[in-house]
Amino acid sequence: MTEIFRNICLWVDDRLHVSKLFAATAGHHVPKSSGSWFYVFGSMTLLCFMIQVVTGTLLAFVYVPSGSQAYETLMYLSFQQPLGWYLRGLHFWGSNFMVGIMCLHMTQVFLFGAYKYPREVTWISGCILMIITLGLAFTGQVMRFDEDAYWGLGIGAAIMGRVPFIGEQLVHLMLGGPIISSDTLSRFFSLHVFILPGSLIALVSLHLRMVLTKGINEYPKPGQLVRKETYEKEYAAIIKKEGVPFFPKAISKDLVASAVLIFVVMFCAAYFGPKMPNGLADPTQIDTLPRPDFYFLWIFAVAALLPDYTETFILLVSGPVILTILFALPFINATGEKSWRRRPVAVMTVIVIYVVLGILTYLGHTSPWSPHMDAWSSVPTERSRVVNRTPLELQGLVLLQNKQCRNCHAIDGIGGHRGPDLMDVGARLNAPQLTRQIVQGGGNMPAYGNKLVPYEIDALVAYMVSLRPPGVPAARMSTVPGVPPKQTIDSAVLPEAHKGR
Amino acid sequence: MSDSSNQPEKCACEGAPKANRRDFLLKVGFGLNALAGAMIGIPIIGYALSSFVQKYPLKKISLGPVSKFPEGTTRLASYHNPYSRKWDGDTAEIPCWVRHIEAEKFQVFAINCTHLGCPVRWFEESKLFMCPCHGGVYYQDGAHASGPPPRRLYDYECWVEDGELFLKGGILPTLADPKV
Amino acid sequence: MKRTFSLAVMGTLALALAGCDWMPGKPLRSEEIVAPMAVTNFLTLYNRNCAGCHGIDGNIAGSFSLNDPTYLAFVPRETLRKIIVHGVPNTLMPAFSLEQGGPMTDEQIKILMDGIEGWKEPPGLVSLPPYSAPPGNAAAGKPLYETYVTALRARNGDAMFGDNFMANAAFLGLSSDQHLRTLLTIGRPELGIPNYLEAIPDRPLGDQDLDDMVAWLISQRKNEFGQPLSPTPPAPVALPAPAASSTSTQVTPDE
Repeated sequence: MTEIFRNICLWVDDRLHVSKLFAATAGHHVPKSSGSWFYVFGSMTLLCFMIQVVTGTLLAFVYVPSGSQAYETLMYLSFQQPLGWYLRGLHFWGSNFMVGIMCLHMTQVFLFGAYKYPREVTWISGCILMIITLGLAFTGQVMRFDEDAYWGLGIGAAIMGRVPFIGEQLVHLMLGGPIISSDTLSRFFSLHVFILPGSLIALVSLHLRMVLTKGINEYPKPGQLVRKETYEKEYAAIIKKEGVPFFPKAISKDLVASAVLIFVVMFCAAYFGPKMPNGLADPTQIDTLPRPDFYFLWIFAVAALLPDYTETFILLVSGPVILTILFALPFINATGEKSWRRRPVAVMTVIVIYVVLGILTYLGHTSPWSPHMDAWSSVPTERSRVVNRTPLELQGLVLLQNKQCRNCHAIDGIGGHRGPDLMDVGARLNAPQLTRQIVQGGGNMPAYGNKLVPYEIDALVAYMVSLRPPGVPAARMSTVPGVPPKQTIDSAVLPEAHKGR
Repeated sequence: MSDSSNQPEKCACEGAPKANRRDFLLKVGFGLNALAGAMIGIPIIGYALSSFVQKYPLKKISLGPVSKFPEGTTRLASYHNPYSRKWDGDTAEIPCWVRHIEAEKFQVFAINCTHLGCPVRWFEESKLFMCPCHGGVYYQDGAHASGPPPRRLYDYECWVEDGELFLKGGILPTLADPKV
Repeated sequence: MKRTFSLAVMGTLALALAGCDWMPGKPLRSEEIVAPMAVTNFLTLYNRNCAGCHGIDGNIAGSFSLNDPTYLAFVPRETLRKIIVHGVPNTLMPAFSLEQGGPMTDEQIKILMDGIEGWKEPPGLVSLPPYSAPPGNAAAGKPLYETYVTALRARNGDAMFGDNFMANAAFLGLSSDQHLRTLLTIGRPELGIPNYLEAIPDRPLGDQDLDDMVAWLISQRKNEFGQPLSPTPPAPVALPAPAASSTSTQVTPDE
């Protein structure tokens, strides 16, 4: 019996050359030092991709990429299809982890100098893989054809529309027509399930092929410099001296990490579940706060924070510039020190990039520049800001709500954060200054002069003057000389309406 | 099949003229494939880029009777996208803001903020349009009031005909093509 | 060791396959995003549209608290509904129905009305004065108003009297007659402004007193800036303009 089985195996191996293929790939020799915990991120990213392929293919059993039905089929997947929600969860969390671990992988490769001679192609293919992965993430969030997806496409189109000369044509190319429609969804579907994954598989093949031809980076030792003349000989010597077959000698940490990854993705999918679509993609439903998924929040933040005169330039040029730098890196910095312990600039670069991305993501998440669209009719005012007010000041408070001031101005942190918090505005600005600011606007505030009658301004200003921390006097008039400091200034010079406080 | 597999041996012993013919055949093979590739490729590229090349002229669209828009107000309206397909679902309805100034004077603004295309919302009380994405604000006549937008709101060309409000539209306005 | 491991694997699988009905990540129908115009929950509607100016629960706000049973007893239901639907022209109360350019459907306004009605309490023994009435005799209102203010001052200290309390040009210019009447009648108990029964100790205000005080306050209106005494109505066609200047801003029915 075992003899027959053995013979079958031998026959298969003879015809398919399985063992030779295996020896040449999984069995290839790697430096013993590379069997490190730092070297597990690449295989984890690939594993994420495999999860995505399997779950994505299965989701496509049900999902219909049509403007009229995508949302319905998502709801069916989430609520009716047995385990549909779980598959959606795996796919959602798989994508999050894929982007995240890919970043870790890239960081590790950068810090360990693995992009240096002779692994330029490995690095460049990796950079393209990063672009494709981000492309998959963006097109994937379009698949969740909800309000965010719709307006996200609008943002994409608006950026395309800033391209000189062919902007209009690019917009139409991106949208598959003159306006966001089902055609747009269809072409993003095609990108998401055919074009990008196909390209990704091709490039992963190249990426792994390069690992076989040029070898995996040895764990860098400080002081061991890369020289083009000698590196390949040195690497061969390392392999000869302390090389071990990747399988079974160096793979164990990858295996453990992969299993942990699968457990974590399963846990997240089961515990946190999928991201639910955020309302039907109905453009006439404009009561919406479009936000991109987590990994693009930093771009959302950049778009808000750039000075307007740099915006088009930076939005269009920064991408190509960053890519050029990434692609050129292994040629500019081909030799020399590999270990991050002797590369302070590299370490600083990584720290700066992570801090910047972290801050921008946080800002994108809180988006303090966005008006709080419902604040005027919904946010409460703290009790102490209401009691002990004159009827006029109370009218001022109602005006402050009614004229949507609260959409941009918080009081005690409640409300929009586009403009300054008004909790202590009475101590900072005096009545004429407040009036001028309201009437003329300025400093990113619209002018309200022709939207308010004078009595309304009086009421608003009266209320705002009363917004002060306890015991702090109202801001004094700087231009009135000779008024004794004890007297409250506003009662001395202001018209009747403002007297008293 | 068997002929061609025998050929190499024959060629090898019969010398140069045959080799030339083989080179020639190789060139013909390359040439034919280039030609076939171009012939199959050009229409494929043409298909893929059709929306890049195609022109989308603005269409005349009705927003319904003027009475839907009381004088002195700014109201949300929507129209059926003239370029829509049957399977577009809700995305076929395109919203816009209609400002009835007086009598037959109207302004119709695209819903899209000129910064990055998010839907601006009208606030009657403060007479402002505000954008929920990056805080662009516009005055009631569409002029830029504050925030990052590089220009005023996109205006539709609109007119009144027999008590009905019409506009020219159908495309997504962007900075590259601001005539909606 | 091996057995424990395979048991763990089987267990995980069994959990993953069978236990999905109680997995915390499983989306619930109730968590589905509801389009704003399909919201039917009263508190959601109230918090989104009303709480900013009218307060809720412990929060008080600039305008009358809608969860004040006295206020609810004072305003007739139909009037309240019309105020919500059309807003009150010339005041800060916007229209909330879709036809008037607001955010709510008729059903939602009904849900809102029913919810607000739910805050009503059985009326006390006292019957409230009518919601609106023409202003009375200004001369008779003056001393009454002064007594009223003195009593309030004695009660609350000086904090809210800086701008001449209600006799302030800007306040009067911005407040409708009805607003003055409502404020005098039901007060803002949550702010320490008592209702008409308790405002002046030992002298509950009668219907006539209220009319007279409103009349006196109206007579104090000035037109310093030559503008209309309150803002231009937001939707002039939506509603016939309120009856000649200063009788009452009770909303005229239009349907």
